[in-house]
Amino acid sequence: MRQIWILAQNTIKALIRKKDFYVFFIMLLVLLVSLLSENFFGARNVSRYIKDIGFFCLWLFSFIIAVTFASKQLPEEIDSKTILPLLAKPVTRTHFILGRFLGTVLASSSAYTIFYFLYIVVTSIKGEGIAFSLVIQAYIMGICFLSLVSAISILLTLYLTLSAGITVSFVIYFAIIWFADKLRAIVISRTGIESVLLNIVYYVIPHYEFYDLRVRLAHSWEAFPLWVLSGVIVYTILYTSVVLYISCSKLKKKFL
Amino acid sequence: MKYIEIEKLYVNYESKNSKEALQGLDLNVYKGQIYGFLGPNGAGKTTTIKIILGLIPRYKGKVLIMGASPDNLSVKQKIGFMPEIANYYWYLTPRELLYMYAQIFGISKKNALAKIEKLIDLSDLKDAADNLMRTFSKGMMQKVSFAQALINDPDLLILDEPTSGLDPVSRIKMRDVIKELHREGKTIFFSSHELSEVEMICDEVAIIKDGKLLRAGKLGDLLKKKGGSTTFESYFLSIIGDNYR
Repeated sequence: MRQIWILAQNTIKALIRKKDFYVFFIMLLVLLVSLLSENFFGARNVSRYIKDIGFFCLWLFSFIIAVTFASKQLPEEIDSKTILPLLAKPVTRTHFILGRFLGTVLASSSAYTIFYFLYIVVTSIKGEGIAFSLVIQAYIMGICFLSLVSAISILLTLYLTLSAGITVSFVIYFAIIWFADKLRAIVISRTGIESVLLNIVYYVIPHYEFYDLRVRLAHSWEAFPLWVLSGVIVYTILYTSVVLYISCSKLKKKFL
Repeated sequence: MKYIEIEKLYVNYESKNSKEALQGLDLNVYKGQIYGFLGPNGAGKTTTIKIILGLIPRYKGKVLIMGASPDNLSVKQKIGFMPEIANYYWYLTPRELLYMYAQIFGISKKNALAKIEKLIDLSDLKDAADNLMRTFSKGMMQKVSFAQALINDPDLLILDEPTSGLDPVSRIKMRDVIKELHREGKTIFFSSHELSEVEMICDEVAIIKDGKLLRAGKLGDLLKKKGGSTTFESYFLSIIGDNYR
């Protein structure tokens, strides 16, 4: 456990010193401030657009940070050979994966927290507030989403190159956000072996759409029941654990 | 006591067409020795070191480090390793890197800070100890690499090309430190291309080529068998079969 925590701290230090985060922070700040000063040709309910676009941007920036950061962890360590003196010490490959995963989640969650705080401040200034319970739910969902994204990005780089891993992470994200609902409709409409295969596909893919509360936030809808939130948290823990287990098994077999 | 015990070691890398990196290697290093490990490029030196450190998951043969498997964490607790290519996290300073590694070994903060000061002094890193390693030259990185290998006060020190990239003064200093560590009772496994250095430092050597052990023993004994009058350089060239002269 000590080793995992030390590696996580090291990962966070890397995010702070590599300065990627500051670029996104400034971009989001500029975007939100410019949204704040706009009125979209005198449109009414402009706060709804600000909530929608602002949340999409903070979600996207946090996602980019998580994907790029998680994807770089293994290839950079292996290419630069910094992994060799590290694993020559009392650190197992499982410690390594879990440490880098924890560090990525903490780092991207910290960035998300700052972005989210900024978003809440800007939307509050502009007008309509958001129900506190929904603010908390969206925050928790964001952390769960970043955990799952980080685990999957780490896994992909064990099978693909760095750039391919990042690209596939993005493709998976956008494909699921856009097509998961349609896939569900197709699954229901089919029978026999087709239905079985499509059901497998549906249940195996990571359901990123579970975490996206953008519409709910934009329209100030009510928070959903606690059992739904609990269900999504359990889903995240199970899915992430399986992905990390596969990553550890793969790295254990890898020649360094 | 055998610190490194390797018998009939075979290693085959993942790619389908590659030949075996090690082909039945035998090697024994005893406690308290400075053991020189020599061979031309591609002989299998770094592969052997990786096996000793538990970095290669699949191999055939027997490998015991201090009587245990190479991936045993309590064994790793007693090993110091300086890699051939000294690359460390550029976003850290040497002091931060050493502290991170000290934490991994479970060294208390007080002891770690004292040890770090000592190692910074020993490795001539005083002026650069708080600078990010991004700007460091190869020689500076070698010094950091040497310092990190000693952070846990190891019983077995594995050095892969430790003096490459160092200026002559730093090279002599490092050689003296290695001799001093040996006098303190540490076992040192030393891989190098510098034959003169190996001659000066090591009590025993092993010469490998194409993943096979060609010769092993005390330097004097090996030269004696060859007639005694030859230099170590000529002996090495004759053993590895390099007849460019």
